[in-house]
Amino acid sequence: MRLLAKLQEIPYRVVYLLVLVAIVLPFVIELKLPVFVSNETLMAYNTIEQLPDTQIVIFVSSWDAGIKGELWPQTEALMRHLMQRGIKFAIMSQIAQGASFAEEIAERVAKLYNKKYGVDWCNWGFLTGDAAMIQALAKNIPKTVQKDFRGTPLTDIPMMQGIEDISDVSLIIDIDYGPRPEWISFVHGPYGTPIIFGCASIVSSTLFPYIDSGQLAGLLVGVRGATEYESLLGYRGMGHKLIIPQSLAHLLIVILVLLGNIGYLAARKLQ
Amino acid sequence: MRGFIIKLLTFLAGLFYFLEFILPAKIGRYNNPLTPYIQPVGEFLIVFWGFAIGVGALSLMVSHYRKIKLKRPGWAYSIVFFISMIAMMIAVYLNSTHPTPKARFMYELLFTHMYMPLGATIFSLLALFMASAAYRGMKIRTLEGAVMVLSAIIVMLGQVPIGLWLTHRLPAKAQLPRISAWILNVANTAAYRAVIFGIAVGAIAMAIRVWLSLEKEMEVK
Repeated sequence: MRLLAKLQEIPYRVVYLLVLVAIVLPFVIELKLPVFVSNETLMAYNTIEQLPDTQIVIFVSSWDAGIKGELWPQTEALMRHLMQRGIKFAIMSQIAQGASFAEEIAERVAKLYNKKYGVDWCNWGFLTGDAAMIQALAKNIPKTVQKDFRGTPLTDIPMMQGIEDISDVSLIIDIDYGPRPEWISFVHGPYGTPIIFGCASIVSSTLFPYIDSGQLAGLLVGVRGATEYESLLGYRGMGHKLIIPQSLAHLLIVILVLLGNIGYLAARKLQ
Repeated sequence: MRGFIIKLLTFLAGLFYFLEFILPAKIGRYNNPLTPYIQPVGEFLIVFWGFAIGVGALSLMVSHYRKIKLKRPGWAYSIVFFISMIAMMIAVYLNSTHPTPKARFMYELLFTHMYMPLGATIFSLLALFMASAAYRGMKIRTLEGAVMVLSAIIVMLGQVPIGLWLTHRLPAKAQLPRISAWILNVANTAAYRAVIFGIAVGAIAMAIRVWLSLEKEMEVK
């Protein structure tokens, strides 16, 4: 019993080491696990599958280095799908660093599908102003954005010809640590434009009510969402690489929680 | 007088957005008269926000300068702050205005090879802290605690492929990803919706207080 009670006293350094091993191991030994496609990811996929190619998609990418592991694979998977389907999209960011990350991914994906900047996709860069900016954007895109990330006036970008307001936008995608509900309040509410969110796993529980209410047309949750989307598109990208270490880390945490509770119960019996 | 002007502007700004949003797009034969002004007011706010970011940066610099001047504990980190900020400003400026290979190299070195790994490292530490905190904190002391630990275990395993791998021989309804989806879509949604209602009522009350300048912090001394 004393030995069991010791199970709740594993030093934190050992816990850190075990987490490190769980994360590094899949990069050394190749493991393959089955992928379950959740309803919210399938909804996002089906929404993009049904989009018309006559309008553009606004791709909000408001994440940076800290959350790259979860949101890079999501961004890549969604951009691949849009380019695969020949749907034009405009990147924008609500944080200063976001536009550069999205640009890097778009450039890589564009090479795969032979897509051109300005014709098939463009980057509006960092747009500040939150709710006020969103409202202004919905009413008049060229006036709100004015120039792209590279300093070109929006009026000189071929794919932006004839794009005036939100009625020329078929979908909003917001990839963010915690996507902003203002898109729902000020775009989906008044204009009915469908919205897909991509978020970090840790904040996902706050967004499920919007799926249930039909205000979100899809939701990608962390690396899991990206992996599921990659499966639907039929390729194994960064999501597939990262989900295995995450799986092992989750399993390790569950084992540690169980051991901690066995130790706790044993210690209580000893008292 | 200054206080009155600030209060009046706050009230008028709030009233403009409130009325524009709440009035229908068409009132009889007429269009909503406020809608054409959404664009210019929005542009003004975007510029205003830009100033706010500038004020934030300025205030940060002043605070670090004082720290260095008075040699407060950790003042050396403030020097690092100034070096990093100035270096990054020069790199971004040169890269966007004179995009030579040298400017690109400097930008890549600072942003791609320093800022990005630093940011990722800070966030990665969370994995270690979370594992340790879960091990120490998730103890079954009460029935509610047991429910919490059980649902956390189901969601943790159900959210990753290992959950499906562990339970793939069971009937579909008993597989961990499906139980986890039920917890998130039904139990979590119901509970979180209650939280959202609470937050929304609080936010409306707070917005009205700010709108009508009833908040003590808005008093101009």
